[in-house]
Amino acid sequence: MSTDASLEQYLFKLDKALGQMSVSDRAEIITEIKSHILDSVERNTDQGIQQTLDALGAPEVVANRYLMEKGLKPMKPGKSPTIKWLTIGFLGTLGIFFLFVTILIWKFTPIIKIDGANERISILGGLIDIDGNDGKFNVDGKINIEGKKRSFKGSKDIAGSSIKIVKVTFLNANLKIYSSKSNQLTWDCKLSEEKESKNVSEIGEEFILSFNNTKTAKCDVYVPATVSLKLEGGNGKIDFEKISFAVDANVVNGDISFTPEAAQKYKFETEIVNGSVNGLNSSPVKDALLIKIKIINGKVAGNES
Amino acid sequence: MCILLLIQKHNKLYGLDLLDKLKEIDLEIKEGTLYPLLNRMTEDQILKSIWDTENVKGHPRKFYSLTKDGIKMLGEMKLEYSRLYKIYVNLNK
Repeated sequence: MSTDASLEQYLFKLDKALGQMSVSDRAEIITEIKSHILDSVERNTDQGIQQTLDALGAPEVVANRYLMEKGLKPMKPGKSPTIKWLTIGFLGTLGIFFLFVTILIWKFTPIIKIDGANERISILGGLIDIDGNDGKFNVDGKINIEGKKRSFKGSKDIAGSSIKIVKVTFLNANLKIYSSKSNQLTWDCKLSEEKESKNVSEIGEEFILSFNNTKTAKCDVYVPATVSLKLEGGNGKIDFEKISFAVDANVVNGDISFTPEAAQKYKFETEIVNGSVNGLNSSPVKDALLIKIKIINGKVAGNES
Repeated sequence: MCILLLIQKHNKLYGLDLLDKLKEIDLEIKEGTLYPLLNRMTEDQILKSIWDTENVKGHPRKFYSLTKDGIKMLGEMKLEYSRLYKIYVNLNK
């Protein structure tokens, strides 16, 4: 550092440390100290400016003596540059983090939006868009999956069989569940899939309708009262219409509506992590049908019968 | 008191000169201490200061001299010091 620069820096710090004093007082002190330093250097040619500054003492210390002699409060020593920059760095990082989180929340809100009328589910502020009507699945506008629609219809006579449970598994589905008036389990689906896959199987007491290899499934399912229905899936819009059988539904993102049969009693057990439940009235009677619904994100709403 | 005596003796002195004179009489005082002290004594009207920019070579110098109050106060200090010195001498006999 040059002589002038170190002198100017010393005087700048001194002036800053004398901040509590009036401008004219500070100017007089700075002029006197500057004159003293330059005089000392001229008089003692063997002594450099840095030695003169060292002999004078740190500018903050000198300023504090002036302040104390004047009966003013001495200033506190400043933080070391390392601590100062660490603090700035920490606060800066924290600020950027909060900004990032705010942008994420803003960008991905609402987490899930279900448009029942148009059979559409929008997840993470539209990042994932599932169109049940068209069988389209869209991720961030970049990945577009539009399946070919395949009609998949069938029925199974439950009477005389060992089947106790009808299980429906799916990735993305729009299901309308009705009570079958006979012992026939029937289904009428439209599937979006690249290639045909096996959708029906029987394992022990379970009859399984699997749509796990289907991008979207839109089905009307009629279930007899002699079995119970088990649903397992990712994203689903499910309407229960006047059912007379027990249900155990487990869905990640779902919009479930329940229209009760007037003469039927139900006992509801719901577990929703993010979302709401309303309009469901459990009956205290023992033979009430158990309706278990578990959803991570979504809602369950009861309708008037 | 020594500072005031030196200033009275030389009629007027500036900071660096005063430091040298104090050094000569074996009374070393740090410049970082002297200047704030001179500043306070000026505020207390014991000293008065004047900038000399014409009759000096190089940089402007701030000369200090005693005010009337300063002369009076120094007289009182001298008397007090003489009284204390007499007590000290008597006690050391």
